[in-house]
Amino acid sequence: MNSILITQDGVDGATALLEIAELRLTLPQAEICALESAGDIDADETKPLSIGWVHFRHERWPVYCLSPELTPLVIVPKARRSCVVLNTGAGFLGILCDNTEFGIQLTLEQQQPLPPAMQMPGSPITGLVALSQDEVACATNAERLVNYLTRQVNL
Amino acid sequence: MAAPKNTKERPNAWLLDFGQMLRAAVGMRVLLQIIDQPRLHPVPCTPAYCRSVYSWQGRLMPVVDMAALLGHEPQTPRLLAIAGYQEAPGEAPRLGGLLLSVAPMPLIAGNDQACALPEQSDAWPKFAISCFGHQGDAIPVLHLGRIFSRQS
Repeated sequence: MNSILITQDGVDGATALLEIAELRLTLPQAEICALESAGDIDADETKPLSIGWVHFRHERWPVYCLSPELTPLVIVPKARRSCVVLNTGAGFLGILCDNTEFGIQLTLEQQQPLPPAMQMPGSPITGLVALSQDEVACATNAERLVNYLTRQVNL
Repeated sequence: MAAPKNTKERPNAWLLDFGQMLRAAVGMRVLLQIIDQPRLHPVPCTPAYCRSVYSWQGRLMPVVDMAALLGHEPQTPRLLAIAGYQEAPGEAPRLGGLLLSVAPMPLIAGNDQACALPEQSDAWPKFAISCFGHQGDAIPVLHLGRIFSRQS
Protein backbone atom coordinates (compact mmCIF):
# COMPACT_ATOMS: atom_id res chain seq x y z
CA MET A 1 0.00 0.00 0.00
CA ASN A 2 1.46 3.41 -1.01
CA SER A 3 0.40 5.55 1.92
CA ILE A 4 2.14 8.75 2.97
CA LEU A 5 1.24 10.26 6.31
CA ILE A 6 1.19 14.03 6.14
CA THR A 7 3.11 15.42 9.07
CA GLN A 8 1.34 18.03 11.14
CA ASP A 9 4.61 19.48 12.43
CA GLY A 10 5.26 23.01 11.30
CA VAL A 11 2.20 23.20 9.06
CA ASP A 12 0.68 26.17 10.89
CA GLY A 13 -0.90 28.27 8.20
CA ALA A 14 0.43 26.04 5.42
CA THR A 15 -1.86 25.35 2.51
CA ALA A 16 -2.29 22.23 0.43
CA LEU A 17 -3.12 22.47 -3.26
CA LEU A 18 -5.20 19.79 -4.95
CA GLU A 19 -5.44 19.59 -8.74
CA ILE A 20 -8.67 18.11 -10.06
CA ALA A 21 -8.41 18.44 -13.85
CA GLU A 22 -8.36 22.21 -14.48
CA LEU A 23 -9.63 23.01 -10.98
CA ARG A 24 -7.12 24.12 -8.34
CA LEU A 25 -8.42 23.69 -4.83
CA THR A 26 -6.66 24.90 -1.69
CA LEU A 27 -7.27 23.57 1.82
CA PRO A 28 -5.58 24.14 5.15
CA GLN A 29 -2.83 21.53 5.15
CA ALA A 30 -3.58 20.67 8.77
CA GLU A 31 -6.85 19.09 7.60
CA ILE A 32 -5.07 16.55 5.38
CA CYS A 33 -3.89 13.44 7.21
CA ALA A 34 -2.55 11.17 4.49
CA LEU A 35 -1.93 10.76 0.81
CA GLU A 36 -2.79 7.40 -0.72
CA SER A 37 -2.41 5.97 -4.16
CA ALA A 38 -5.69 5.81 -6.09
CA GLY A 39 -4.73 2.23 -6.96
CA ASP A 40 -5.17 1.25 -3.32
CA ILE A 41 -8.82 2.30 -3.14
CA ASP A 42 -11.08 -0.58 -2.15
CA ALA A 43 -14.03 -0.52 -4.58
CA ASP A 44 -16.25 -3.05 -2.76
CA GLU A 45 -19.79 -2.04 -1.72
CA THR A 46 -19.42 1.66 -2.27
CA LYS A 47 -21.57 4.26 -0.54
CA PRO A 48 -23.88 6.36 -2.75
CA LEU A 49 -21.84 8.64 -5.05
CA SER A 50 -18.55 7.40 -3.57
CA ILE A 51 -16.14 5.33 -5.67
CA GLY A 52 -14.73 3.17 -2.89
CA TRP A 53 -13.00 3.13 0.46
CA VAL A 54 -9.65 4.22 1.79
CA HIS A 55 -8.12 2.38 4.75
CA PHE A 56 -6.82 4.72 7.42
CA ARG A 57 -6.27 4.21 11.14
CA HIS A 58 -7.64 0.66 11.03
CA GLU A 59 -10.96 1.68 9.54
CA ARG A 60 -12.27 2.35 6.06
CA TRP A 61 -13.59 5.72 4.93
CA PRO A 62 -15.53 6.70 1.79
CA VAL A 63 -13.66 8.13 -1.19
CA TYR A 64 -15.19 10.61 -3.62
CA CYS A 65 -14.12 11.46 -7.14
CA LEU A 66 -15.15 14.96 -8.15
CA SER A 67 -15.33 16.76 -11.48
CA PRO A 68 -13.82 20.26 -11.87
CA GLU A 69 -17.37 21.50 -11.19
CA LEU A 70 -17.29 19.47 -7.95
CA THR A 71 -19.96 17.08 -9.15
CA PRO A 72 -19.42 13.57 -7.74
CA LEU A 73 -18.31 11.18 -10.51
CA VAL A 74 -18.85 7.43 -10.44
CA ILE A 75 -16.38 6.72 -13.26
CA VAL A 76 -12.85 7.68 -12.26
CA PRO A 77 -10.77 9.58 -14.86
CA LYS A 78 -7.31 8.09 -15.37
CA ALA A 79 -5.63 11.29 -14.25
CA ARG A 80 -6.93 10.90 -10.67
CA ARG A 81 -3.83 9.17 -9.36
CA SER A 82 -3.84 10.10 -5.70
CA CYS A 83 -6.25 10.28 -2.81
CA VAL A 84 -5.99 12.78 0.01
CA VAL A 85 -7.46 11.71 3.33
CA LEU A 86 -9.23 14.60 5.03
CA ASN A 87 -9.98 14.87 8.72
CA THR A 88 -13.65 15.80 8.94
CA GLY A 89 -13.68 16.11 12.71
CA ALA A 90 -16.10 13.21 12.98
CA GLY A 91 -13.96 10.86 10.90
CA PHE A 92 -12.15 10.88 7.59
CA LEU A 93 -12.92 10.88 3.89
CA GLY A 94 -10.91 10.56 0.72
CA ILE A 95 -10.89 12.89 -2.27
CA LEU A 96 -9.25 11.78 -5.50
CA CYS A 97 -7.06 14.27 -7.30
CA ASP A 98 -4.60 14.42 -10.18
CA ASN A 99 -1.75 16.06 -8.28
CA THR A 100 -1.11 17.51 -4.86
CA GLU A 101 1.28 20.08 -3.48
CA PHE A 102 1.98 20.69 0.19
CA GLY A 103 3.63 23.34 2.30
CA ILE A 104 2.43 26.35 0.34
CA GLN A 105 2.62 29.62 2.26
CA LEU A 106 0.07 32.09 0.92
CA THR A 107 0.29 35.81 1.55
CA LEU A 108 -2.78 37.81 2.53
CA GLU A 109 -2.57 39.61 -0.82
CA GLN A 110 -3.02 36.30 -2.62
CA GLN A 111 -6.26 35.49 -0.82
CA GLN A 112 -9.68 37.08 -1.02
CA PRO A 113 -13.18 36.04 0.00
CA LEU A 114 -15.56 34.79 -2.65
CA PRO A 115 -17.25 37.85 -4.23
CA PRO A 116 -20.90 38.21 -3.18
CA ALA A 117 -22.13 37.65 -6.74
CA MET A 118 -20.49 34.20 -6.76
CA GLN A 119 -21.85 32.97 -3.45
CA MET A 120 -24.36 30.13 -3.38
CA PRO A 121 -25.96 28.49 -0.34
CA GLY A 122 -24.16 25.25 0.44
CA SER A 123 -21.17 25.95 -1.79
CA PRO A 124 -17.91 24.50 -0.49
CA ILE A 125 -15.93 27.39 -1.98
CA THR A 126 -14.97 30.00 0.60
CA GLY A 127 -12.60 32.21 -1.36
CA LEU A 128 -10.22 32.78 -4.23
CA VAL A 129 -6.46 32.48 -4.33
CA ALA A 130 -4.19 34.12 -6.88
CA LEU A 131 -1.45 31.49 -7.17
CA SER A 132 0.31 33.53 -9.85
CA GLN A 133 -0.61 36.07 -12.50
CA ASP A 134 -2.36 33.39 -14.56
CA GLU A 135 -3.22 30.74 -12.01
CA VAL A 136 -6.25 30.93 -9.77
CA ALA A 137 -7.33 28.47 -7.10
CA CYS A 138 -10.54 28.12 -5.15
CA ALA A 139 -10.27 27.92 -1.38
CA THR A 140 -12.26 25.42 0.63
CA ASN A 141 -11.93 23.45 3.86
CA ALA A 142 -12.81 19.97 5.09
CA GLU A 143 -15.96 21.05 6.93
CA ARG A 144 -17.42 22.81 3.89
CA LEU A 145 -16.50 19.88 1.62
CA VAL A 146 -18.13 17.35 3.94
CA ASN A 147 -21.32 19.41 4.23
CA TYR A 148 -21.40 19.82 0.46
CA LEU A 149 -20.86 16.10 -0.21
CA THR A 150 -23.45 15.13 2.41
CA ARG A 151 -25.96 17.36 0.65
CA GLN A 152 -25.08 15.86 -2.75
CA VAL A 153 -25.53 12.32 -1.45
CA ASN A 154 -28.91 13.18 0.10
CA LEU A 155 -30.28 14.89 -3.00
CA MET B 1 -23.75 75.88 -42.77
CA ALA B 2 -24.65 75.76 -39.09
CA ALA B 3 -23.08 72.96 -37.12
CA PRO B 4 -25.45 70.29 -35.78
CA LYS B 5 -26.46 70.88 -32.17
CA ASN B 6 -24.52 68.02 -30.61
CA THR B 7 -21.18 68.09 -32.41
CA LYS B 8 -19.39 69.75 -29.48
CA GLU B 9 -20.87 67.46 -26.85
CA ARG B 10 -18.62 64.67 -25.69
CA PRO B 11 -19.87 61.14 -25.19
CA ASN B 12 -20.81 60.58 -21.55
CA ALA B 13 -21.76 56.91 -21.59
CA TRP B 14 -20.83 53.55 -23.05
CA LEU B 15 -23.43 51.44 -24.76
CA LEU B 16 -22.91 47.79 -23.80
CA ASP B 17 -24.28 44.92 -25.87
CA PHE B 18 -24.84 41.57 -24.16
CA GLY B 19 -26.31 39.89 -27.23
CA GLN B 20 -29.88 38.63 -27.61
CA MET B 21 -31.05 42.26 -28.02
CA LEU B 22 -29.97 43.02 -24.46
CA ARG B 23 -28.23 46.36 -24.14
CA ALA B 24 -27.45 48.74 -21.32
CA ALA B 25 -25.22 51.70 -20.55
CA VAL B 26 -22.68 52.75 -17.98
CA GLY B 27 -20.96 56.08 -17.37
CA MET B 28 -17.92 57.00 -19.43
CA ARG B 29 -15.49 56.62 -16.52
CA VAL B 30 -16.79 53.23 -15.45
CA LEU B 31 -15.05 51.16 -18.12
CA LEU B 32 -11.34 50.72 -17.51
CA GLN B 33 -10.38 48.28 -20.25
CA ILE B 34 -11.80 45.92 -22.84
CA ILE B 35 -10.18 42.49 -23.05
CA ASP B 36 -10.47 40.46 -26.24
CA GLN B 37 -10.76 36.70 -25.75
CA PRO B 38 -10.27 36.90 -21.97
CA ARG B 39 -8.80 33.95 -20.10
CA LEU B 40 -11.47 33.28 -17.51
CA HIS B 41 -11.01 31.03 -14.50
CA PRO B 42 -14.13 28.98 -13.74
CA VAL B 43 -15.24 28.73 -10.12
CA PRO B 44 -17.45 25.73 -9.24
CA CYS B 45 -20.75 25.94 -7.39
CA THR B 46 -21.49 29.49 -8.52
CA PRO B 47 -24.65 31.03 -10.04
CA ALA B 48 -25.13 30.70 -13.81
CA TYR B 49 -24.65 34.46 -14.23
CA CYS B 50 -21.28 34.59 -12.47
CA ARG B 51 -19.30 31.42 -13.05
CA SER B 52 -15.76 32.73 -13.45
CA VAL B 53 -13.19 35.25 -12.32
CA TYR B 54 -10.64 37.26 -14.27
CA SER B 55 -7.17 38.18 -13.08
CA TRP B 56 -6.43 41.83 -13.88
CA GLN B 57 -3.35 43.62 -12.65
CA GLY B 58 -2.98 41.18 -9.78
CA ARG B 59 -6.61 41.45 -8.69
CA LEU B 60 -9.27 38.80 -9.11
CA MET B 61 -12.69 40.06 -10.11
CA PRO B 62 -16.04 38.35 -10.64
CA VAL B 63 -17.24 38.16 -14.24
CA VAL B 64 -20.97 38.69 -14.68
CA ASP B 65 -22.95 37.52 -17.68
CA MET B 66 -25.80 40.05 -17.86
CA ALA B 67 -27.72 37.93 -20.36
CA ALA B 68 -27.83 35.03 -17.90
CA LEU B 69 -28.60 37.39 -15.02
CA LEU B 70 -31.60 38.69 -16.97
CA GLY B 71 -32.86 35.15 -17.56
CA HIS B 72 -31.59 34.72 -21.12
CA GLU B 73 -29.11 32.24 -22.63
CA PRO B 74 -25.56 32.51 -21.24
CA GLN B 75 -23.10 34.36 -23.47
CA THR B 76 -20.02 32.87 -25.08
CA PRO B 77 -17.14 34.87 -23.59
CA ARG B 78 -15.62 36.95 -26.41
CA LEU B 79 -15.09 40.37 -24.91
CA LEU B 80 -14.74 41.39 -21.30
CA ALA B 81 -15.31 44.90 -20.02
CA ILE B 82 -13.41 45.73 -16.83
CA ALA B 83 -15.59 48.06 -14.79
CA GLY B 84 -14.79 50.09 -11.68
CA TYR B 85 -17.52 51.15 -9.29
CA GLN B 86 -18.11 52.30 -5.72
CA GLU B 87 -20.65 50.86 -3.30
CA ALA B 88 -20.88 54.25 -1.59
CA PRO B 89 -19.34 57.68 -2.15
CA GLY B 90 -15.81 57.87 -0.76
CA GLU B 91 -15.42 54.11 -0.66
CA ALA B 92 -12.48 52.41 -2.37
CA PRO B 93 -13.31 51.46 -5.95
CA ARG B 94 -14.22 47.87 -6.67
CA LEU B 95 -13.73 45.94 -9.88
CA GLY B 96 -15.98 43.66 -11.84
CA GLY B 97 -16.08 42.18 -15.31
CA LEU B 98 -19.01 42.22 -17.74
CA LEU B 99 -19.18 39.87 -20.72
CA LEU B 100 -19.96 41.67 -23.98
CA SER B 101 -20.89 40.38 -27.41
CA VAL B 102 -19.46 43.40 -29.28
CA ALA B 103 -17.18 46.29 -28.39
CA PRO B 104 -18.88 49.09 -26.43
CA MET B 105 -20.01 52.20 -28.29
CA PRO B 106 -19.64 55.73 -26.91
CA LEU B 107 -22.82 57.79 -26.89
CA ILE B 108 -24.38 60.94 -25.52
CA ALA B 109 -27.27 60.59 -23.11
CA GLY B 110 -29.17 63.37 -21.36
CA ASN B 111 -31.97 63.75 -18.85
CA ASP B 112 -34.33 64.75 -21.64
CA GLN B 113 -34.04 61.20 -23.00
CA ALA B 114 -35.36 59.50 -19.82
CA CYS B 115 -37.85 56.72 -20.48
CA ALA B 116 -39.31 53.55 -18.96
CA LEU B 117 -37.23 50.37 -18.64
CA PRO B 118 -37.53 47.83 -21.44
CA GLU B 119 -40.03 45.04 -20.90
CA GLN B 120 -37.81 42.25 -22.25
CA SER B 121 -36.84 41.19 -18.70
CA ASP B 122 -38.63 41.54 -15.37
CA ALA B 123 -35.20 41.76 -13.74
CA TRP B 124 -34.21 45.15 -15.17
CA PRO B 125 -35.62 47.17 -12.22
CA LYS B 126 -33.28 45.30 -9.89
CA PHE B 127 -30.15 46.18 -11.82
CA ALA B 128 -30.84 49.57 -13.42
CA ILE B 129 -30.83 53.00 -11.84
CA SER B 130 -32.45 54.76 -14.78
CA CYS B 131 -33.18 54.41 -18.45
CA PHE B 132 -32.97 56.56 -21.57
CA GLY B 133 -34.12 56.35 -25.14
CA HIS B 134 -31.51 55.83 -27.85
CA GLN B 135 -32.33 55.36 -31.53
CA GLY B 136 -35.78 54.09 -30.66
CA ASP B 137 -34.66 51.66 -27.95
CA ALA B 138 -34.87 51.93 -24.17
CA ILE B 139 -31.35 51.63 -22.71
CA PRO B 140 -31.13 50.87 -18.98
CA VAL B 141 -28.27 52.41 -17.01
CA LEU B 142 -26.61 49.70 -14.91
CA HIS B 143 -26.30 49.85 -11.13
CA LEU B 144 -23.02 47.94 -10.81
CA GLY B 145 -23.15 47.77 -7.03
CA ARG B 146 -26.41 45.83 -7.19
CA ILE B 147 -25.05 43.54 -9.91
CA PHE B 148 -21.72 42.63 -8.34
CA SER B 149 -22.88 42.59 -4.73
CA ARG B 150 -25.91 40.45 -5.43
CA GLN B 151 -26.14 37.15 -3.56
CA SER B 152 -28.17 34.17 -4.75
